[in-house]
Amino acid sequence: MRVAVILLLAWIGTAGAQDNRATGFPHNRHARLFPLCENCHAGIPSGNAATSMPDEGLCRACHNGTDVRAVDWRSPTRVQGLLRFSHDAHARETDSTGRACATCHGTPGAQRMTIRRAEPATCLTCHTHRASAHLAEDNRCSTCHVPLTAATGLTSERIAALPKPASHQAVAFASAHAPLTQLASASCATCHARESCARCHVNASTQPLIAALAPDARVAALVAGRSATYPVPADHQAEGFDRSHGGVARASTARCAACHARASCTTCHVGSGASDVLVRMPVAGPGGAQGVRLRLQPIRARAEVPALAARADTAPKPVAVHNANVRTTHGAQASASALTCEGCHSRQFCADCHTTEQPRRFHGANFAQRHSADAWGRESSCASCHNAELFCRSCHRQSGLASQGRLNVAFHDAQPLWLLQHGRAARQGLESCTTCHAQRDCLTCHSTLGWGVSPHGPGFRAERQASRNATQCLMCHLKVPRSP
Amino acid sequence: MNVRRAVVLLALAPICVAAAQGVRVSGVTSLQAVDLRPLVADSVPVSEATGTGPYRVLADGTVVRCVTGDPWCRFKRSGTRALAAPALQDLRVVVWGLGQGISAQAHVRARASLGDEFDWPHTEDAFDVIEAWGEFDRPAYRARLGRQWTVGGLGVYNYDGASLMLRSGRARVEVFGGRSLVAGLNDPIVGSELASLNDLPPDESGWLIGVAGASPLGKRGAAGATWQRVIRADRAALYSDRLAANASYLAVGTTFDFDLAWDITALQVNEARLSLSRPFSRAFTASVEGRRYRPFFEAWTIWGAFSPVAFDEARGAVSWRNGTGSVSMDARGAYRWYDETEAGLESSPLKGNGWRAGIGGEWRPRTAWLVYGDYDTDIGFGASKSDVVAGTRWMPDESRWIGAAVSGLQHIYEFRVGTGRMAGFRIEGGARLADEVRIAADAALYAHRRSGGAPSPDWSQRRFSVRLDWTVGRDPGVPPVAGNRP
Repeated sequence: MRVAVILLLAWIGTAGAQDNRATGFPHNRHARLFPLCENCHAGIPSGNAATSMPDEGLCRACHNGTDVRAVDWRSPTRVQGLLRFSHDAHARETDSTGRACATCHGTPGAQRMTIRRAEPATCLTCHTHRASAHLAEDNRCSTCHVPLTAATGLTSERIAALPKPASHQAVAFASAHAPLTQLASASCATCHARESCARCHVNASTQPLIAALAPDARVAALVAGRSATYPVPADHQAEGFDRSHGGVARASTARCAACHARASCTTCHVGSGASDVLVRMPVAGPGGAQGVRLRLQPIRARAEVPALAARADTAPKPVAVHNANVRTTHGAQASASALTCEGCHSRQFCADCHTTEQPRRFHGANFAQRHSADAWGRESSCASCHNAELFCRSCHRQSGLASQGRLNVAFHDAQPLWLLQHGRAARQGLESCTTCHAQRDCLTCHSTLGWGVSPHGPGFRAERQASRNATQCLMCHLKVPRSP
Repeated sequence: MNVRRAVVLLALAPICVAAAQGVRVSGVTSLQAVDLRPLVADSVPVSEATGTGPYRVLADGTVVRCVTGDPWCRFKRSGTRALAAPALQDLRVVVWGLGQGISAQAHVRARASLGDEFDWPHTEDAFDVIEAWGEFDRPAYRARLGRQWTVGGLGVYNYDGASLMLRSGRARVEVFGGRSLVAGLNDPIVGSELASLNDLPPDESGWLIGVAGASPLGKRGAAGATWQRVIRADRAALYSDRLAANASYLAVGTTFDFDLAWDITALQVNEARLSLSRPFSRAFTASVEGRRYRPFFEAWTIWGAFSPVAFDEARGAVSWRNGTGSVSMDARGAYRWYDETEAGLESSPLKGNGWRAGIGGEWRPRTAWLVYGDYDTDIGFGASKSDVVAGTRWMPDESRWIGAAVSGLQHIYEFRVGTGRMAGFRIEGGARLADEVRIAADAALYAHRRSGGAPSPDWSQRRFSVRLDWTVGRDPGVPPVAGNRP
């Protein structure tokens, strides 16, 4: 029995507390004192803000400390929340339809003056013709709500706790949420301020819809330090986007600029080929959105000297344009313009490797010692950068490796029967032979004036060769030969 | 490049710069130092060599040649240390805004050999103009005049002449012509540099003419072709006559790359290559390639008449990286086989194939750290090797880095040249001193142990190199932030 009394008292106390939390005033305890809402809120139906809340003196008439304990109740200061709501307009409507204040503020099934805050669902009992649900995507928030920036009474905590519509949770929403009309933009403004957009959008300051949003210090504080989120749009994931995005960028640069700052582009595009797009891309400023930040993935970091960026732009998202063996196989793509090299590389990028001395390091460390097997196997085309006649033979000669007219000292002749092998070796690796041997070394035997040993293979087209360059023939022959 | 031309170029430069809207100047200074021991001829009395016949062996295993009647057996050994120290200074100047679409560009290079005795290749050419041209560029066409490059399926050639490119969308056609320079040399065919090392240098300069074109193949690919001919100045012969075709296409997730270089004179394929590369997931990529390669020689040499044979090669590579990209591995391999040479004796065969294989990996335990390793072996005709390297690199931000690596190398067989083992240690580092000023340097130690008695330079050496590059100004229409890579 004792337990039941305690539970009953607790329930009563809880009910009163709920009323207190909802309105700041225990209405139900005063139900007998105030039979009409207008006794205290006379100004609400009339639209008189001065009398919409009771004066503290009215409380002190009873709560004077003698008759009833004193209370420290103050009339709440009216602040502007998110609601775009006119009590007087609704009060007139209420009067005409016979509805009372309890329609919105009463608790169904409870005793009179169990007051609660009006619920959005209650609004929708009349306004359902415009929305399927309170947070539905097809709703027009501005019908009932003022812009967040006008809701000066909301604290940052309240703003942070604003409910998130289900539509915003969808993966595609982040990449396709741009409002299409000013009306939709007004819905965005219910919960968002300019800083909400500027957190991610690099071009926030130049976008009319974003610029139309007012700035708000509370939102600025909430988003400060929060990293931007850049989901990858579907078309970016399509096959070949890295090759085809140039046309998209030229046609709709503004779309790129929503997520990308110029630094995104210059991660790869350091040549002049994309400059017409680059100049239209926004530059990320300090404190603003930085845009999608990219870092060029080294093709094979372990084989290359790292490129030092000209400026600090740490980049969480690695991008790789070329495959791992591009250094030795880029000829097709470059020659066919499948990738527009000048869109990313300045001209000097090619010349750095293809001008003999190579200011850029192409080969790995100690390549001078390691290069022989690569050269014999033609792993890469030496001649595309080096002149074998000059570069290779010059070094081999000074190293003492090249033939200097005496064939009886070193190298191949230390192998038995080299003379019988050398013809085959020469045909298989003639480029390597020429890096040590001059032409006269071979002409000693392979010329009419020498031993007359023919070096030509079975498929040699002497006549055709002579028709194109007879002088070449005359280096070995006394007269231009003809095919048999 | 003679001094007179250099003076003219330098005299014109200030005029262009003064009249231009914008100028970009960049420079690269690089210096290497390598100490090595070139081979020198030596001899020993016949009595010190053991064995009989023309090839005998010394006590330390060195093979010597002893000719009947000569009291000395001769061989080569490493001589005293020589320092090779090439220094390069590159300077690039781009000026634009000389009029609508008018710009000029020059790239010059100065060389010096700061070492003793051993001159690094090409350093005797103290001043070189890599390119220097004026350009008139409009959306539909582009004309250039001066020393310039043609880059295409036949490689990279430069010439003194003119070019005209017509453009329509991504399609382009370019005609070019002028005095031909030797590929990789920036020197005329009858220039002194080639003559200094060639016992039969060409006696006539050459004229280059060519046409190159490229066109997109839908949105997924492109194709291009180049025809190029070098004619003797006296029009008595061709130095070369070649055609190249290239294509690249993306289909069913696979990139198809195709190259063909064709020697019209010899009616032979110099290179044909078909490569397929496909990412099977974000983590896994594979590529296969088939190619046929036959060397090409300009017709001012006799080498083409020696009927060099082609080899065919099949290559494959796979790579894998984990989801975060912190670990990656790859493996590659290739096998090649040579055409029948119709030379030599059956009883004295020579290796007619070769293969290579390698595996490597990278691990980034933290953003700033990289640990890597690679192992490759190449067993082939002419030379074979086994090669391993492992190292680490610390890059706390994108403005500085430092690294260290150890390496090992074994020359297995190299026509008896350079057989031996080598171990090395190397440190490297770089820093961005200012927005457009960067420096990188490395130093290395190598210890070489030869074997097999074959002549080979002692490759035990110290190496050092430093490179400083800087840029002032910017490209036309591109703000200063562009340019984070050369």
